[in-house]
Amino acid sequence: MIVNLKICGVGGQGVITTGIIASEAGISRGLNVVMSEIHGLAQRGGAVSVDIRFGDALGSMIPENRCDILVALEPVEALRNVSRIKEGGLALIGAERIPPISLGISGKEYPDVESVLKENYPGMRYLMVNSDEIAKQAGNPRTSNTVILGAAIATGVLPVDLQDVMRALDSRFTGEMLESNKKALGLGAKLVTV
Amino acid sequence: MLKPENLADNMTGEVAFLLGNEAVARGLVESGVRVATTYPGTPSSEVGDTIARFARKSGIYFQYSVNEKVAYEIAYAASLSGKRSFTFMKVVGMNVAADSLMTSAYTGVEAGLVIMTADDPSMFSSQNEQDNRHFSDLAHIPLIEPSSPQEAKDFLKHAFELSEAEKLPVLFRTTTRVSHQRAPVTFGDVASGSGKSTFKRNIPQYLPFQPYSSRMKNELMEKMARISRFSDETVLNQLERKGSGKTGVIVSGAAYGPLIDVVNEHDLDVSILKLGLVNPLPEKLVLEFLGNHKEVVVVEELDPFVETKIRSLAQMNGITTSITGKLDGVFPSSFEYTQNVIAGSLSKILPVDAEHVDAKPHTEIPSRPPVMCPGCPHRGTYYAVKRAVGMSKIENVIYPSDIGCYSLGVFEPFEMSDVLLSMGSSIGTAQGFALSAGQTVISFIGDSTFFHAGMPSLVNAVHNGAKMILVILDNAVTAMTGQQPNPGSSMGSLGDPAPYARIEDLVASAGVEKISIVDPFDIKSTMRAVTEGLHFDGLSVIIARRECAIYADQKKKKIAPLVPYYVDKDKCTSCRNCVEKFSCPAISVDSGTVSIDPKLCDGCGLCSEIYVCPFRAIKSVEA
Repeated sequence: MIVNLKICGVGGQGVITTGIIASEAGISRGLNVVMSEIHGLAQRGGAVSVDIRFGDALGSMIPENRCDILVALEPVEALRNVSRIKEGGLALIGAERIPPISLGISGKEYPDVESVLKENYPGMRYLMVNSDEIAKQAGNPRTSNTVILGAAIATGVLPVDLQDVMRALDSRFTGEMLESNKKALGLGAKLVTV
Repeated sequence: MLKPENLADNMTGEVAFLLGNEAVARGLVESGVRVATTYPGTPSSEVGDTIARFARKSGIYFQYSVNEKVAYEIAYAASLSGKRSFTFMKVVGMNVAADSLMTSAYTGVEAGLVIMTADDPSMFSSQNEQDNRHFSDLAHIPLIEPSSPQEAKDFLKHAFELSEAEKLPVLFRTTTRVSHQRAPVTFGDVASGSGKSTFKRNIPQYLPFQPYSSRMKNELMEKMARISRFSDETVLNQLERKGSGKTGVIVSGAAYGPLIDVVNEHDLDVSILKLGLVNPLPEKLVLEFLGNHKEVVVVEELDPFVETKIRSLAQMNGITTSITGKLDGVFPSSFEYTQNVIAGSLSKILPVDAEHVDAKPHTEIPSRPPVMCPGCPHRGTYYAVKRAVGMSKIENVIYPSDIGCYSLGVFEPFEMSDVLLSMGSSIGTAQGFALSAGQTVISFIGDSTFFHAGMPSLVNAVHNGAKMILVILDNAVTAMTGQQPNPGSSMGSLGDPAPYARIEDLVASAGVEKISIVDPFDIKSTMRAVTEGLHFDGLSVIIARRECAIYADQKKKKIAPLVPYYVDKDKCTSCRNCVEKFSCPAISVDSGTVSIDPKLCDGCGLCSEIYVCPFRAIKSVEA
């Protein structure tokens, strides 16, 4: 069995860290996990994505159209990666926009992401998450990635549960960062009822 | 989570989720390496970032060298002194190290010496996708290729043993998908490095002069012949699975993982011979494999390196087994092999369904290329140069550029990069244009790239009277690969204070008569320096000096939080100069309203300058 999770966003949003936490949750459960990432320039602000595969996969890249669940920390980045989702797959999308500078230069408007999704992928299940607002409730605006991860875990699609992710958070953070991340994870999970 | 500083600890049998490059760093500890050197470059950089964290604790000497050639020479001399040594670099770094590597194969080495190249199929962060396996043929040295983080660690130990047994440097080749893959890695024992460390003079062995050189070449070929026999016995080359005998697959490197995914998914009846010691080829093993199958498929990324050798081996031995690969057009010779690429190629010869149904949305998705960070000093430099050139009315200026974050000057809104080849090539091409094109030339190079390969070129330009402006963007670190120190940094490889080279002194002693040192956040002064350079009849150098924003923030944040800027809606006229011409990622326009994202803003305040916002609408939150 293989479950494929793709996480995407903008450099600086914590895409790779979120990926490692999700992966380590799987490892702590004894699963095989492989993750692929592309490190280019150290800059902030470019499009970033990671592929994570739980189970019997050896290749670290998710084949086209095989993504079980897409976690997009930014709406335009969701559009950039949505075609990777398999039929019947899910998308969890952070609602807060980070307009690319290409829009400022060209004078074009930020796309209406929800309309594009509805028109192009009529049957697709997705959830827009006001993760920034919820992260503030969790006490730290920088935990919005963990909010969306919480929602992704609550869908039950991934072979890891909230306890596994809590363990991964425990081994990475301490103090206030740990508390706010745990809170963010829980608040995110409440957004989804299966 | 395992912290990098603890990666050298004794933890035999434990499992950690490691990046391929972190696994390589751990491999050094398990191989008893004493000296490690590099010039940072993606996709190899995290090896150094990791070693730097545990070097002091583990007793490994680690150095960020000025370039790959120097890095290799330091490792070579360490090996001749009796210390196992390792040097690593990105794919094109091998071109720089190659000059010394070639002859070091002739002289041979003493303690194990391994050189790692991190190749980059699909060119995620390199200017070409050259297949560095050819260097092993060119130099006549063995080549080992891991396919996963676990192998990256384990195979390294074999590489050192082989190097030491045959006294030859060994080429260790990863690719992006091995170096940047994370996977569970099981630790082995920490090895104690050799204590002895002396160099014994041996002129006939180390000096490549005749009559010694001819003897050396003969010895080198004998070593490779011996390793060829070893290649048949080593655990690095293995029959991984046995099918019914119709089809066999020979695979090496990063193609292995995706190949197995495809084989498993389609339940293919194939035997698989996996090569880890790729050169010299395990001839007996391959001949046997060919003999046992009706058809053999060779799966390897980039050039038909293994395939060519197998075809010639088959020809010499009169074997008629059908061989499939790139040379018959079934597999591609460019770009990385994903499962889809492998399935697509295999579908031509095996029962594989390779339907692609990746349906992109029918809409224009705004591009988001990498951009200069908020607070990046390069933005100020480019903005000022562009403005000064615009005001001068000089047209058709040529902008040779170089390798670094400032390469991003090629994108909108600056579009100030016309040619780029390799580290340091900006200055060489600039003086060529100055000679040949009859146009004004403004060339850009960063501090680290200047030290790496720019200095000889500048000396040449001065001596030969090239008329050009050279802008050296000095941000104090090697920024693009993750803020590593270089010889111009006031910190050494492990973060402690170190003496450093002064670019202005180097440039002056090269004979440059006109040197300006400017702060790129002072747009007015930077523009003035450019204007003066444009009117100067000779070679002028502008040193645009300000620390990399990420590097500076790491220090600043410890003292005080960053104070962001905002757009005063009453004063903003929506002239869009800041979004269209300055283009900081923290500034955006949504439904006609310009705003600054306080989470992205670095608080540098450059956008509030009158040259960027003539209406003084951008203000500090604190003010």
